[in-house]
Amino acid sequence: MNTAWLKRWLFTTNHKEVGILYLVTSFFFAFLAGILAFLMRTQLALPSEKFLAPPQYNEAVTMHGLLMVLWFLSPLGIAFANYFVPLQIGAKDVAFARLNATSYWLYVFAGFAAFASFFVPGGAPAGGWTNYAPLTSTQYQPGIGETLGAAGLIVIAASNTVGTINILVTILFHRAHGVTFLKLPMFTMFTFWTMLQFLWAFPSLLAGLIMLEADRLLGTSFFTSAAGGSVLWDHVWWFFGHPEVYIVLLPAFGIAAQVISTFAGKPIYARKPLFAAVGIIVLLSYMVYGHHMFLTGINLTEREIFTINTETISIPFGVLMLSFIGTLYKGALRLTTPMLFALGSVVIFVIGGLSGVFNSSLALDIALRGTYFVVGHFHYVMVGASEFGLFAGIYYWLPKMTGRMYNENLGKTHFILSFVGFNLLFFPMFYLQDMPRRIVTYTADTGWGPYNFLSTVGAFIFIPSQLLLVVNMIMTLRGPHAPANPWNSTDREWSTETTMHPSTGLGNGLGNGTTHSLPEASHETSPLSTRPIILCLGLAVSVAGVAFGWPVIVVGVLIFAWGIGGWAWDDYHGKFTLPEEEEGERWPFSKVSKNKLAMWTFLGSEAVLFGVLLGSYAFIRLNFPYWPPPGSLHSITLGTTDTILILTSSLALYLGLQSIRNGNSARLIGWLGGTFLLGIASLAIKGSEWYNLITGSPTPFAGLPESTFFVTTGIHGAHVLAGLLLVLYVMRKASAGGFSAKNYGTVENLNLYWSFVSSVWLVVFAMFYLI
Amino acid sequence: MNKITPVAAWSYLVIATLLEAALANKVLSLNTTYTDIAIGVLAASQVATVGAIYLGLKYEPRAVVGIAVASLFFAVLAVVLALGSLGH
Repeated sequence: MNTAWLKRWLFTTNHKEVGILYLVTSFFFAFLAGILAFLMRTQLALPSEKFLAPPQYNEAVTMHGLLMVLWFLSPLGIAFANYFVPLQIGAKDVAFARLNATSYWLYVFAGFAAFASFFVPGGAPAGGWTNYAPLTSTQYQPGIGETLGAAGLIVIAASNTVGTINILVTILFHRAHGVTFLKLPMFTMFTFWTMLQFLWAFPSLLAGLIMLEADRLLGTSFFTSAAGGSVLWDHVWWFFGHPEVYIVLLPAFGIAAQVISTFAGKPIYARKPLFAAVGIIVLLSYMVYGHHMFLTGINLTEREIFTINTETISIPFGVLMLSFIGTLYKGALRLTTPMLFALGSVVIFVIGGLSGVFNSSLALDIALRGTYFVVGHFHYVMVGASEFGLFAGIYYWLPKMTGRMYNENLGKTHFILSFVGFNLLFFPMFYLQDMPRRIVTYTADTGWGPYNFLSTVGAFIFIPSQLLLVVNMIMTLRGPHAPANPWNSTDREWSTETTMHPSTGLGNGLGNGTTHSLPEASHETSPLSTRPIILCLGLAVSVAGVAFGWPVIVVGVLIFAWGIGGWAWDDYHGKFTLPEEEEGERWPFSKVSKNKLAMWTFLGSEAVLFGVLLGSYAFIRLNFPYWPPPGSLHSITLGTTDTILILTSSLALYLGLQSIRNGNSARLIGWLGGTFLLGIASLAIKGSEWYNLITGSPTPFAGLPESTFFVTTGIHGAHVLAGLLLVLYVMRKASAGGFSAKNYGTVENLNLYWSFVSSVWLVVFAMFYLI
Repeated sequence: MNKITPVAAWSYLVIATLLEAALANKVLSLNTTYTDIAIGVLAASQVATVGAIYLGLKYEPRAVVGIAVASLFFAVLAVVLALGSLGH
């Protein structure tokens, strides 16, 4: 066995190889999700079918949705972002190579954890891909499968956060000279906006999953009580879930824009309005989610606002469509496979988008929401439009990635079968306006049989036809050599040289753009690192361990500590270094360091995480009539003391930062020591409060005031603990002379993190102790 | 930044914390609504102080402030939309 080949793939940090790993892995998960879709459509093909038992059907529906959305469609966009964003902006690699590998391995292990839930007692999650409460409660899903599935989701939320920060900073910080914001290639521009959605949407999912796991494991009652319950879950889920629709869609449209422009032989029409339209879509995507909740009885005025917002978002989407049509108009069209898939994506989106307008209407939505009409709608938008656009990307860039040409006839056959199969699969659903979603079977007298049969025939065409893509991709590896720019594209990535990587055998186009020049060898020997895979394995095992018990958690934590310790050791000894980028376009962050920008981006996602946690607390509290008055559940004196300790620790760290800015390492170490001791004291106070609450009641986690307190202060305490470990690391490095008046970026970032955690505490203190 | 500013900020933060605690303990005999509003305003001013001084937003380029403000906007948006749905 060629161990060098294996080591290269396991430990790579190269953006192209990570991109290829993402691509291949996403296909693996699509294969699993496709099998589940087969099972579902077989069950629904005929009336009164008993192919699957109801629990199995529910598991298949749930895991199909989760795998398709979170482990196939989103990661496929990320695969392209990894591979092509650096090429398109003229960067040598992504901003943080090891973090890139980290986000990939978290994604892999998250998927394994989620899929493993099929094989544990109780079976896989069965509450739908939306994980609606209370279906996910221990009352309805007492087995550990749901706990494990949610753990997988937590890990993939972490993966996406890490990946988002990396790609955002790459776009903001590593553009070559001349690649200004408005000159970003289409795919990179759409990716930029998508990453902003990732940044602010996934923390909401993470917060919801933390509360869900607390409900399942500790017996808290966020989503099982009347005060929080299903409506609270809906808010938390859909604040993430609706932007997620565009997270899978926008990269596909970025590809479609680029492909249409290339094969129409014209620059994209209305470039600046397009740029603005995508930004408006991103903004509005957070303000339309309430249309998923029209049936929940939320405030009527807010339902009307959500109706208006949802209808409004069709305007920027209209701009996108007009831009595509304008590009095609009078173009010299070449109907290659990528072009066909790009056009297919647009056509399917228009059908899906038009059907969505019905759902934006409050009155119509009440009739349609719980029916197969909606299933048809969201598959057109989320699956068809996204998948066809992403497939366009595969065909478009295969020559770049492999250095060889794919089989055009096979590609066109793939398109025809996919397009016919897809429409046959999902269009009949628009006629099933009275068939409830999620039902396992139906009787013949409903009249739903013919539509369902057609739909299943479509599935049996659409799903197997995807094998043609896989076959074509494999054949491409031995296909005829591709010209350097087979499409005569003007996009930047085609101006870079494509070479075969010596160990992987895949194309490893240098991707240095036209203005960056980097010797070939230095790029191809980008460092390997064992740390990401170890760290991610540990994190995934420890998080998944919540389903299995403490021994598994401990093993996971030990592996994680090994990984993170090794990572820190590498940093400490300068064992992992990448060549510096030449300074290019950095507006509007030209005066900010890369690491600092990454920290600010991370804090941005953290702000939403705590916002959702505190918002959930406020939601529950306003809904709960018997909230204890200030001072009765938590000691105001203890809270005040804790707050002063935290504020003082912030001052100490800040003074430490000022010391090192003046070149005084000894003082920095002193102030860091003070920060550490104050942080420990703060945690001790928190521990004593927890101890008193836990020992003061036989069911300490059951009450809502306690539930919200434990989870919110627990998450905050975990942040303090992580900060203290960082303080220790920085102290150690400072004592070895690792910082100076010109090199104090790590201290500055630690100060940002710590100050942020302190500011969050000020809100927690006011909301939990005082009001 | 001079050495006094962070210490002055810390002093304000501690005084505000003590004032909040006093308000919560009903030292000023305000009714609950006014007390809560006063605590909310003080807490917001504290967060702004930490943001401006310790997080350094007062000294950062506008783009960094933009990230902070946008993130805060989406955090607040999540809260507002959830709370806004209460009631019929």
